[in-house]
Amino acid sequence: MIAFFSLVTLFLLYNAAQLKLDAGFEKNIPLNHEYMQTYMKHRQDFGGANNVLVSVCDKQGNIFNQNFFDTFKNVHDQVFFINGVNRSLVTSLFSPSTRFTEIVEGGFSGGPVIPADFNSSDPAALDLVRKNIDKAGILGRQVSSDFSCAMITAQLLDIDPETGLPLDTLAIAQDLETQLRGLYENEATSVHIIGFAKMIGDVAEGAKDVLLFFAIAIAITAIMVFFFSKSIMLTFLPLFCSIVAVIWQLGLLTLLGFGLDPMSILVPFLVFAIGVSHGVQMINAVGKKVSAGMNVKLASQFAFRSLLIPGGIALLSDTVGFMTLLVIDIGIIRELAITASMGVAVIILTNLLLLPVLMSYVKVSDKYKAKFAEASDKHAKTWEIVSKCASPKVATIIVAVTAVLFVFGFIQSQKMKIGDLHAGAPALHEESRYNQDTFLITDKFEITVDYISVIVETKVDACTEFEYMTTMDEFQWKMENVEGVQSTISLASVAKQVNAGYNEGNPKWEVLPRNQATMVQAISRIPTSTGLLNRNCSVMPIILFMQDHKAETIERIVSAVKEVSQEYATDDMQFKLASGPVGVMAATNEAVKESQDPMLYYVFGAVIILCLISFRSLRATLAVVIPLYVVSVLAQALMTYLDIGLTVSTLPVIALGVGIGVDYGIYILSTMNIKLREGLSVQAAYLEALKERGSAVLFTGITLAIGVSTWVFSSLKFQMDMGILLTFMFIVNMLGAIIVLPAIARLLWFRSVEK
Amino acid sequence: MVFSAIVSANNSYQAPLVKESLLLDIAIGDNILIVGERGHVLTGTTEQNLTQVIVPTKTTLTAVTLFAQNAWAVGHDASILHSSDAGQTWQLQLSMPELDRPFLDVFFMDENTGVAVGAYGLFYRTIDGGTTWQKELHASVLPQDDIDYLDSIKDEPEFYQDELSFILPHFNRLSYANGKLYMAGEAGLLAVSTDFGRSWKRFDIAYNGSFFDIQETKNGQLFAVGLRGNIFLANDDSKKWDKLQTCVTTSLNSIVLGNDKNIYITGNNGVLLSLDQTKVSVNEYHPANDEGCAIHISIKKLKNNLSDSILNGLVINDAMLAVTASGIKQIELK
Repeated sequence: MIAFFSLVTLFLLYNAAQLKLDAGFEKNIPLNHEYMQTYMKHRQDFGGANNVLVSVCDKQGNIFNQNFFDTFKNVHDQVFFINGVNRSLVTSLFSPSTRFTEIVEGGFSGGPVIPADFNSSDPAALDLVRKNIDKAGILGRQVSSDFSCAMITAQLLDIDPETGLPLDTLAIAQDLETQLRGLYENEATSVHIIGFAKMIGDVAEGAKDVLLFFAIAIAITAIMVFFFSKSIMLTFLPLFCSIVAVIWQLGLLTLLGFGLDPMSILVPFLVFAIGVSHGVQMINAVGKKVSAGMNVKLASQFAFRSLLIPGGIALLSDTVGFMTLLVIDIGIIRELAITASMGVAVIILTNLLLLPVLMSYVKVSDKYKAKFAEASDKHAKTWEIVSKCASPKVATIIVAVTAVLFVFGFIQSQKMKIGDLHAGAPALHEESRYNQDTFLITDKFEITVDYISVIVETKVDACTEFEYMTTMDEFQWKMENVEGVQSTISLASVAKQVNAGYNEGNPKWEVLPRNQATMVQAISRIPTSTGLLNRNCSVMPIILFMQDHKAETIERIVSAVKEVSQEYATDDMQFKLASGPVGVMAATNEAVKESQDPMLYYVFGAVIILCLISFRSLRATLAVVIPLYVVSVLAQALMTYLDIGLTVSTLPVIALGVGIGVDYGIYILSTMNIKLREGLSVQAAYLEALKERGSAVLFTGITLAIGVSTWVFSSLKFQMDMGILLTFMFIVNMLGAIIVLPAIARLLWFRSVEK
Repeated sequence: MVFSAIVSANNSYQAPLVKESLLLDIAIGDNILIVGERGHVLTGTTEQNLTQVIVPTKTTLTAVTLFAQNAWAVGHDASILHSSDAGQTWQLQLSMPELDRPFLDVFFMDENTGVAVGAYGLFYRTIDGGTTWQKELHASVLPQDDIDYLDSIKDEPEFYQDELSFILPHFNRLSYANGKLYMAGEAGLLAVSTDFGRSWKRFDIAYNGSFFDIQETKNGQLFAVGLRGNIFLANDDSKKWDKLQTCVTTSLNSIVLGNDKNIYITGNNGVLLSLDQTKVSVNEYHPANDEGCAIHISIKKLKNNLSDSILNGLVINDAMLAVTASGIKQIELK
């Protein structure tokens, strides 16, 4: 048996060592959502939402010097050569597509903003570029309005052109950091990079802290388990088995061909904590029997037998609870569901099977038995007091207070917001370099990464016809008038400007020409590389730049799009949501919102069914599930207080919390249920349960909570949020199991005899 | 009282951002009238109380004029709108989208007599307040070469008409002073009429770029502004035109008369110049700028934070109420 475990562990350890951090843009989006279908359909033409913006700034605040232009040229070339960048869409002052036009007597005159013979050491050349920038109208887009920064924009491919495999986002992020910032940021120049790839790279970087938290958590847990068990060996074994569980989990993950996503990097940590909590139940049971005089081997066998059912049920409900996350159609949450449920399932083997086997080999001194027994006696007095929770009077009060808390929590939880509530990348702290860069770029430039594209799907060559273009133009104007939209652009609005350009730049001519030849003349100056039309101009995006990407802003704009498109859509002209980063967010928010309720139904459904099966009692099931439900509602209320929105990263927290929280109730009630059947009163049965499992439950709750509370110090905002919420759920679920559960049981078993 | 609102798909859209939209002309009588893109019309007595009124068109309106309670706005699709209540309610007098050319300016001498001009020599006249409009073609605004050519084909009336329509330049602006109607237009067109536009005399000027405005000031000086920062001043009974160096290379759109000796000239890219009429004949220049260009002593570039085109404006106290590509702006003139 031990040999088998050793072999499997070694094999999986080898595999776990191969595990790679793995991040992908598409994993984070609900690919089957209506909006994302539109997005996938057209991203060949318009690139996707996966852009990179690189802003290079002169620290003196003026880009017109030789050093800056030399550096900027180098950065531009470097971006161009980064593997995975769509080279045809790299734009900056140095790209040949960046041209200026000016109106002169008799027509246009124009050329590249940076002429072919540009010499950065010649002040006159720099001066010329400055004038060309004005004429090209790129101030605010490619050059910051205060002339302190210039921008390079690029889009990433989905498939790595060298390998033919999906793009390695983290490798790109690494390249961006080392080959751009690493090489070119210095005392004269700063380099600011934003975009999904960079963000996820920074998240992955921050996720490495997890190792430190892991170490701290192991240390804290070890100390606490030692205080609990008073034995080094009994401290070592549950920790060891839990680590084995993590190794198995990570190894299996690699075997199944998954990588570990930075967004779910906390899962192994969670597996460890859950493992320890069940391990502690095991050593608690063994310790109790040994101090009562049983030999270690028999005690281990006893513990195994008595804990296999409640422990197994608890872990099974964790597993099922996590599996319910599979209903959410977002790759990363599914991965989390698989990772977590697998990890928990593995604990059944390592901590319910392997642990008692290993423990049976431990030699326990008489001194230890005495110490453990003494501790148990000491606790007994406390338990007497706690057991009053199941006395009729106290029980009524507790249930009343719980009801009040529930009502209050329920009302508050209705205010919960979906999506990101803050500017910048929500996974990262506001003061992180990435978010600071985002703020700098939104501040200095008129462009932002917060935009949503409405895709106009129409007939071939629609852009040459006045009616179609006018419809687009009117739609665009109505959208521009929606609160939260900062500016808009589409082929129609650019065509109007070009038309004015053809008429000596006279703004009175900024209209769509009725004449088809004139329209074609205007459109012909707008290349497909602008991303405003496809090759046969049957598909054209209307891009809405937004003030922010807060959930309510997105919701308002999305519903406005739907409303206005009703007014303008015809059989051969559809206004489809959505592309662009905010389009992705809108879809994600909707998917998250839609899955919130089903997820809770499934989690609770699974827990209820498992409880019914194991307790064969409706009352017992209610006693376990009601506190659990109250706590999950309170957790939602807490989210509204802490301004944490329901996102891809916080959505699973409630399911995780319920899955793990149910353990306490199951352990307590499995003992109570037996005692109640034996005819004990509720209070007496509860006291027995407390004596047997109480300290382990209390201990587990605190250990788990301390473990996850270290995440509050994470450099990643979403880990911090998850840490706060999980700490809350672990502690309060534990309190629920110890205080509310017996009170509810008391009321449910109201006819049971008082002794 | 029962109100019935006729909602028509052709009516302009009441837009929250109307004051930030592309606005193209401003006029003042008892109240202020502003017109612009998408059939936007605003009216009010001060900048603060300007509000949008709904008009029966979504077409871009390029110019507006007021005579007492009567107002006319013209624009694309050869549209002419009329209001008899100083801009509160509007009716369409003329709309000819099939022409595919816009009116660019309109002027009324009294409540009955007016002309509207536009692209490719578009010229319409009314003598009944716009109830009926008559088309006119004015070959007399053309340079002598063109007139000679047209004379040579006079025998073929149909061909003559075609050629004339083809040759005629854009008529960009009308202005009226002391019985004279002035017109500025494409390809160096500056012309004057003493019979309210029935016949024209083209000014001879050594510049063939477009002019966007021509105005006679209160003290009788005649200015014209146009493409690439060009300001010309008529001298010697308009026989000779002198260029005033502005060192500006963007289009200048309008001449706005001030309350004092200054006039103001608005242009694209947020350009706003003030011109001291008492110094125009002085042969002096400001110190040369970085590019070695010296601005004429009479002209001063006024600083503002606009980067969009300023189409026109009104001087009210010490500020200009301007209409720009990004809406209504209040610009200090100090």
